[in-house]
Amino acid sequence: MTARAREGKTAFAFDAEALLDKARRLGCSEAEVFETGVVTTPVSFENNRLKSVQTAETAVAAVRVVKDGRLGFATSSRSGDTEVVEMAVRAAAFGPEAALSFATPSPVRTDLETYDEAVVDWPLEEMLSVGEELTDHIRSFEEGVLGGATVEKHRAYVRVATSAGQDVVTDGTGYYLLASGELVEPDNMIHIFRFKAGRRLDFDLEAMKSDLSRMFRHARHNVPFRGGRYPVVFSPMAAMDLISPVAACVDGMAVVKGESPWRDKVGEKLFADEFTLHDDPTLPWGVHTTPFDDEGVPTRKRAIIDRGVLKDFLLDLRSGKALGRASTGNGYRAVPQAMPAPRASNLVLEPGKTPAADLIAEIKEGLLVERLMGAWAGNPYAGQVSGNVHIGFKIENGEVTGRVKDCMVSVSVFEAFKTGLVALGRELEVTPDGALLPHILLDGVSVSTKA
Amino acid sequence: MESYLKHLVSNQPADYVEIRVEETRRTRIEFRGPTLDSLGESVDCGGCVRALVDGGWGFVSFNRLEGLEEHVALAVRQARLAGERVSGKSRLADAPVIQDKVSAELEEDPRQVPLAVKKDILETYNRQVLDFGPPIVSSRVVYFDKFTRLHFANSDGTYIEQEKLDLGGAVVAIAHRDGDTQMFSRGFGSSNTFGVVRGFEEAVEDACRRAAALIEAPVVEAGEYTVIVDPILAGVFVHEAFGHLSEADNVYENPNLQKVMTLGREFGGPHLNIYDTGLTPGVRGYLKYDDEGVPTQRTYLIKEGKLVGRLHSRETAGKMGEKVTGNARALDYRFPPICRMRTTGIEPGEATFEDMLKGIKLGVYVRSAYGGETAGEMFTFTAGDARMIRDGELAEVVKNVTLTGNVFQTLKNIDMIGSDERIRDGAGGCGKGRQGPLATSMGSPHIRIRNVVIGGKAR
Repeated sequence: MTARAREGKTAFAFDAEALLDKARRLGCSEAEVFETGVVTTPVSFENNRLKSVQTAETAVAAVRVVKDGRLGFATSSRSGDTEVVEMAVRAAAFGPEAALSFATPSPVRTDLETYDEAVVDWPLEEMLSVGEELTDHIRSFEEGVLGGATVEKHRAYVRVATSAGQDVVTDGTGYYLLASGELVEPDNMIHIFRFKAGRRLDFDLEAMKSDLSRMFRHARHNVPFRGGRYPVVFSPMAAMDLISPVAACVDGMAVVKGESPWRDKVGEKLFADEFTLHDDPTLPWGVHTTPFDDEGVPTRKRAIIDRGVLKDFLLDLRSGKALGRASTGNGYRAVPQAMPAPRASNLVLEPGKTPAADLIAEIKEGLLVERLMGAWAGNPYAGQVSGNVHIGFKIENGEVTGRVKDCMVSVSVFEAFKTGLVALGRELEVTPDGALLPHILLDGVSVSTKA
Repeated sequence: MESYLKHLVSNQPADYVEIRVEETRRTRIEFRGPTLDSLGESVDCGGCVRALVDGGWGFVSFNRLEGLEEHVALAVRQARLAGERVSGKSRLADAPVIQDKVSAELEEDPRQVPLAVKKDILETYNRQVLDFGPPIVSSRVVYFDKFTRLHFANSDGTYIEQEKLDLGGAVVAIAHRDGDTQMFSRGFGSSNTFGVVRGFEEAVEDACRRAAALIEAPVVEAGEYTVIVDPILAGVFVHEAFGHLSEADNVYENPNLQKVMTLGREFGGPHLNIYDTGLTPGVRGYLKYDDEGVPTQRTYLIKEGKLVGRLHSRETAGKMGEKVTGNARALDYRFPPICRMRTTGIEPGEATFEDMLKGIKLGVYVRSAYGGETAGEMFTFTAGDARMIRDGELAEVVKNVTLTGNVFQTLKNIDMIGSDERIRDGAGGCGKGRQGPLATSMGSPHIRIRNVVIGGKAR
């Protein structure tokens, strides 16, 4: 990669050409270098006051090689390190059969919106002011409420270079805002939070503040709730717990390994008509927007489920090869030290027509669940989601009447999306995983509580 | 390195400065189904500087070890910026000044075990799962070892070099029939030997049998039950529900929570003792010094039912006027230390399993753990599997058993504690903020709890 592409951006910490060259000299038939570098600047506020100002700079190289038909993998964070190639070669001696070929030269889009200089230039003073504004707002709710906030900016680059000649680099920026309020009473703890994330500074602080106010007001009083089956509105954050099993079942490797129950279901209608789920790596300013995946394969927008019909899986190079197909550009590394695996980029669930507020207005008796806890612990391939309602509210005659505690909801997701899906909200929100989801209204959700 | 790091942190215009430099080497092996999914090594090198000025913290982390002076200067500048805004006072609890070099004392050093041998052992377990037969259709076997050399220096004059081993893994059996997938996992872990990986065949067999049984099992009926909790799940409960609440960084600036968590307050019956310790050798939660250079100890959280302690960093102990406990831990050099657990558990009591079964007309015996989470006083965790208890006898296996409740109520509802303590290690670890998984262990005997809400199928 030429210096031209790095103008004004972070310099590479590793010499990819030298690493590829070394792999060739050590007798590897193929090699791939993945490098990523991130500079993160978070300021954090805890208990109504500024706590710390931090800077973290990190760069990691991950090398995959094929030697004698076997795959070797190693990573290093020691700047300029080349020993990582020897480590990969050593691992290749015992590695799995290399059932893949690394990316070959193919053009990637250069017009995707991922980098905004304004994020890099965001002054620390302003970040501190945002944190102060949020914590001051939260503490003003009531005596004894403690406000916390994290205000963070980051810039990152990803480069993938292969012995076959692919060499691509992309730069991104981003921010992350988290604000939380806590009020402890002798036998009742209230904890609320809101978060925003994006690639450019597009947050609306006033909206965030009013969301926090509303959530605190709703959470301030506990109301009793009787177990049974109810209509339940899941906020986008809670909705992610419902979408996770779907994402797990379309993971190409889970399909290859027979863990996903959907191997033979492409083209089948699994869910209701209203359910359309895309993987969209081209989304303007999306948290996971990228012109190529972590294996250097160009990405594109694809339907995963279209009007209830399963369209396709998420494939990386290996799962693609195992299914006799090309990668769909979904090879991502959970952390730089991990091997690529099939993952979604920006998961987008097509919104409905009803404003979220109206979903609630239509309910005679039910729940609004803002966040579940422990729901990730279920078995995703069985579609069973069971979680404790961390932040959730009772709905009576179309109105939120108070907070519900000590209450579990259990959803058989695959069944619910087929027969229990009443409506999807009109507004999309970014979840902590970077998905874009609307509110989801399900009917007949099992809710259990203390008698 | 020693004199250089000592020099760097001394005479800085700050109330306190510390520096950590570490090098970690990792091996990771993973089987997924019949094939080896990944096998890799990694080296991770980096450091961090943390500075405190007038109650404000600055923290800088980096991979490039050149220009450490600049990193120190930046951390001090950031601390000053934070300190100016809060115009507070720095208060760190006293800690002994330590000079120590700790080398890992290993029974079987995983670095001496050839990669080929590691792979072969795990492959044997993987094959054992796949050869079990229907309804077992797939497997997952994961293994990692991680050896760290850590240098620590602070402006009080402490200098410590530590070698640390962390090793863990799990064998998962995956069963499938008629659109239903169930799994069961058995884990292992250690801080001093590769030996825990050997001789795991019985555990693998157990994982297969239990995954297979879950396929046949009905979904538990939602409701409120008396439960007997096995040592693994009881360990998760005490970690999730009470351990996190005892982390003093939640408490030290929260006057209302201090009233709830007042030392001396009664949280359970006189049979209830809860501890957190860094001193149990060999388990993943073993730790000689924490990441502020403070020696660890056995800290009682609850003694004879009453709150007697909490898990401190130097800052939280200083602000609360209590003593340090050695609980400030950082996942790695990318993070500042925060209050974390080590090995957390319930001390054994006197009840036998038969005592516990007696008198339960309808209950659930919940075993092993799939995961857990806590928020304030609320907790939730998912059992690996479970059996109904009917008229004092163990009955059919049930699945999808998730328990939830209020920790204060639940601790009071513990009416029996068994004599069979077990410390559990696995492949995972504890998460807090963005720092996870951190090596921790959990221990407990069987316990019995009344009135636990279990989610499942509505009646």
